[in-house]
Amino acid sequence: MSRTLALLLSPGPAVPPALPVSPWPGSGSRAADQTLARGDGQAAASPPALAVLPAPPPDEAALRCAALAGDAASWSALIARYNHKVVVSVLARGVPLERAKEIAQETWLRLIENQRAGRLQELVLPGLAIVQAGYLAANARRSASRDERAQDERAHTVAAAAHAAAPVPPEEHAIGRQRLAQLERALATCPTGARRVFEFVYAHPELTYDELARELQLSAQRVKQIVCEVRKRLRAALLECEP
Amino acid sequence: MSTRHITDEERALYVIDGLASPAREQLEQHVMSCPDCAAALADEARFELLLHELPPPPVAAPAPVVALPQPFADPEPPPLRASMRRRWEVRSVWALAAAAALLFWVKLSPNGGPSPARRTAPEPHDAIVAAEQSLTPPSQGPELLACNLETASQCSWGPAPGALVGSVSLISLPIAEMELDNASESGSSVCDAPEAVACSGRSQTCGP
Repeated sequence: MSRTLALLLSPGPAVPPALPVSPWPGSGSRAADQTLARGDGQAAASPPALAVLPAPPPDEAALRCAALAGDAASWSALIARYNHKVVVSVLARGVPLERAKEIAQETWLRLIENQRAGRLQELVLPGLAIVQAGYLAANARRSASRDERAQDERAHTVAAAAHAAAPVPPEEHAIGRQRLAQLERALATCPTGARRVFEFVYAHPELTYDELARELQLSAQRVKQIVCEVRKRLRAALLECEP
Repeated sequence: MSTRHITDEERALYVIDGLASPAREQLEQHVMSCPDCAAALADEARFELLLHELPPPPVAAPAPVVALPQPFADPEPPPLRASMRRRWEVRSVWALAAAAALLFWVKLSPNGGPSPARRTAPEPHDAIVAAEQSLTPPSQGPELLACNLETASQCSWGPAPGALVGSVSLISLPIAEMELDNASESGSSVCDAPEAVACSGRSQTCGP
């Protein structure tokens, strides 16, 4: 954690009253809906526990509530939980790893500043952090000067939401849909148990591997192994259909 | 700095946050100095974002609501059951009428009903005598009824060709079933009804 962020996370003088907590964290704009709709309700034989959680884990909900109230320790815990996902999302934009880490740190800074300024009404993680990081990465490409970014500081969160809601070009949208359809077909060919583990993991980005393993009644190492195997199959299927 | 390039599995594990701290730091150090691995890692990260865009699996249809048994699901009896009930009611009326006629005949008969010899088809002469005797007023009505029931209970299980008794026994069968039906619905015992006692006694002893 950078020095600035560490200073910012030091206990503040006053703690504002608790704000309403967002219903469910998501990794993107569709994640919350996906999570709620992904309840197949089937008691799978292997693994046995695949029920979709109706609400975030109690510690997660308490963390976000306390973070919205300004608790520094809760912010630290949330950053430790979600920072890597933010880094990966920035990496996907072609940003070098070192710069991606900086953007992730800056993302958390923005969120904490907005919370302290009372502009953060709810904390949807990791979706909000990923959107904010995407905006910062795009902004870093557009403007080379840090001073220019400071001028837009107040409008960052609002602009990030607008950026996320920007329409996708039709061609890119069609290609994306084709790739997703190919992935769906490939996923359907995976073994049922592995597919369910994979879907459960991606439906719950807010859970750590230990929590996922507990829910799935598997070891964390086995969960990672299954996810990697399914990813490998999906990637191979995607490469087959692409020229 | 590690000179070994990172493998596909290591890249995947890094992207899904599945690497332990030492391995992750080692990978990051290598990626910062290796453009090829950095590009591969960025590609893996893009694939990860694509996987997050996968639509949710189809929601399983909710478990079908198990239909309640007919008596609970539909408070009114179904048409078939209603017709059956109507049929039993008609039969019971006829059976009660037949039982009343039998009792009346037994009450009027001087010998307390048909003797074992009269179970066969009555001769014309015997029928005339019986008709004459039946005109005499009964002097021992209740006792005769009891006696008749007693004698009826003593009859054998052999064929009972007596027309009257046979017909009563044939009619009494639906009565017994009707009483069973009513008892099952109202919760009362079959033996609570005196008609049922009489009919069951005859059907037991004189039935085919």
